[in-house]
Amino acid sequence: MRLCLTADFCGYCIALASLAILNACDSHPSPSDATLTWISPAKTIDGAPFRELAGYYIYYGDDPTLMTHAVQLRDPTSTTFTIRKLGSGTHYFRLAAYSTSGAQSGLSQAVSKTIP
Amino acid sequence: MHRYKFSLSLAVLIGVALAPFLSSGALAATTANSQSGLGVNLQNVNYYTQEQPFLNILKTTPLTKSNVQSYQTLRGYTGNTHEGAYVQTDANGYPTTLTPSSGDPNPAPFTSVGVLFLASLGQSNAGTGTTYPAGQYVVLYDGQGTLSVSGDAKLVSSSSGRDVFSVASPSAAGVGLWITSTDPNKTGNYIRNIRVVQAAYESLLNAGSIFNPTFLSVLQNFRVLRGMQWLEIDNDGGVLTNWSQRPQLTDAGWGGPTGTPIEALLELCNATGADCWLNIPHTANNDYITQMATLAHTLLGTSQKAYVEFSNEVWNGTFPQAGYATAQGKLTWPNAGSAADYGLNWYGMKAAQTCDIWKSVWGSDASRVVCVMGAQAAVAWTATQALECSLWTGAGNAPCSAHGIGAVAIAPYFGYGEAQAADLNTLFTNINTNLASVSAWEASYKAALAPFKLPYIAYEGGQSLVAISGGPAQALYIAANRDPRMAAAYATAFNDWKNNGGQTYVAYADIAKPSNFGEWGALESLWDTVKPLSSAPPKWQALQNFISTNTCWWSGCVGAIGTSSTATPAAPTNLTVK
Repeated sequence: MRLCLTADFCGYCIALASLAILNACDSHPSPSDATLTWISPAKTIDGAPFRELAGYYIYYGDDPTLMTHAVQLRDPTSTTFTIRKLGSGTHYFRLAAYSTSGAQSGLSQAVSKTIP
Repeated sequence: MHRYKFSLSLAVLIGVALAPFLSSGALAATTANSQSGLGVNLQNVNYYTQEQPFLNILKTTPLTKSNVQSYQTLRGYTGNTHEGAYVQTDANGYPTTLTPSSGDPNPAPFTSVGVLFLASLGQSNAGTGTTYPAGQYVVLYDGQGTLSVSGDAKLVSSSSGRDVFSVASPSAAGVGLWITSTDPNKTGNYIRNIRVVQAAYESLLNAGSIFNPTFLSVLQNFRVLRGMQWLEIDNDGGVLTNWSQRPQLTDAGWGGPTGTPIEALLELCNATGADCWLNIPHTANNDYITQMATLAHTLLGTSQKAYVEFSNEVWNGTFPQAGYATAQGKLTWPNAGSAADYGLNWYGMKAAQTCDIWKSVWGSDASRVVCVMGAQAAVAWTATQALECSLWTGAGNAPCSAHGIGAVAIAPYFGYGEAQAADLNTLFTNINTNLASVSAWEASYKAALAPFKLPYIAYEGGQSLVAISGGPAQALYIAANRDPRMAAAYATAFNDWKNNGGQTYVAYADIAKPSNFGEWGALESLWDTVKPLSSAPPKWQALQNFISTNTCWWSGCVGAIGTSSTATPAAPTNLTVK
């Protein structure tokens, strides 16, 4: 069990002053959830060792060329994230990492999941 | 903050035009602005703007195809007949004929149609200097016909496509430019693409430059330029919904009610190497937001950031965008109950959705997009409500802070609402007392935003004395703004901000004429003396001195305009979904 921002948003956990919006999340996946996993970048785009990872942006939407939703993960140790209660249809996902100085990587390859 | 719009009956004439070619290159951030802690707000573009930002002065007029009522119409010597709505124009707003459209009760041709510019300007140097430069001006145009000038201007010479007029004694009367005949052979070769330029700058204009070099020089030390008023996202939050409605570079004038073309603002940022703060109309649809993001990504220099703000002061209940947000919130969450703050939740949602779109469009350049959540300086709750946006439930929705929001922006004005003081000594005592209150607001923000790990910046700020009824209070306030003690007040405000943990402070505003609507300009005129700095207006001295003695103070700010490729991570790999 984890403390998350809303019941629909498990996996994104930060400390918040307002406990009123914290909800307990269970870990049972639902058919309408999408769980992403990835490998974090170990190098810069120039091939040098990269140690300044600050977090990730997850982009998703129903159009692979224009994803209209984004989630910022401020936890550099994250390698998985679950987006819950997606609507029916095909959803596309891409991921970018960003550094402590704000530099953002290119986007990962797109993956998709169809919710019945 | 309320800013009262200065409204004059619109003047006249003809638009000009030309589609200036956009410069393709962008300046790298200069050493002057890359380490600056201050930005500045631009003022509305109109025919009486104290900025006078463009080489082509006709671009300050409101003349577009959809704003033909701005034309003045003459029949003989009767003065303006106010038939501008019947002027027939091409797509860019240039009259194709002097014959009115069929709806005009008087079908006879106008004697002339025209417009004013350089009008109602205030004098530089605290009312002792010029209103605008004397000397020769050139009118360039395509097509056939004849022009005349009025007001301060006297025609010197006229040849095909090029007239020259002279201004001996610049005054508030300004210049009127009139089309007295057009397309005389009825071949469709009407006067169009009109440009009016100081003779000294004719070659610069012809080379494709857009901006008055004097204007560029006064902006050179500012880290970011906020174009909220250039884009007319002001007290009404903007009025555009569809991308096709936006103003175009080819419009005869850029001073109309829908604002200056976004391209022009981006080019100004490029010309100064500054980051660009872009506001979005609260009525804009997602296609508008997407197209705007795409345009900015295409045009903005690769070393600069885009600050993106949905509307302006949606928290401010006196602005229509606040009522709009509340109404939309109630439609979106009809069962949220009477205690819910619909407006701030809806605003937070729209700011988040806007950020999602911009970050997606900018892709691997998304770190150069700074999504801004605006809030009220005195009430940190307005920020936290919008950041949490708890009404926006559903997958990937609340909190809005998780949608790439990069900063909360407030307006730490001081002096607003002060009781009228009898003299300058009392007024500055009151101002210093008020500065302490503003500093306390800033400290509250630092605490309130700590859980969100977000910085706070100032979207506007500075003194805010307004004597809307004029009279002695107005005179006192103008005197206060020209007093060295005002520079000291600004220094206190900036240092308090820095010490309270605030980051970029975007002062309001660059150049404005003092009036009963406020004394907002750091300069009162583009032609104020600024060199040596000790001869400049006190507020200008305060801004420039703070910039030169305080390199930006927050982590990563130096050189943060753009990022080194060696610090850019490779993309994550092996992404899977199940």
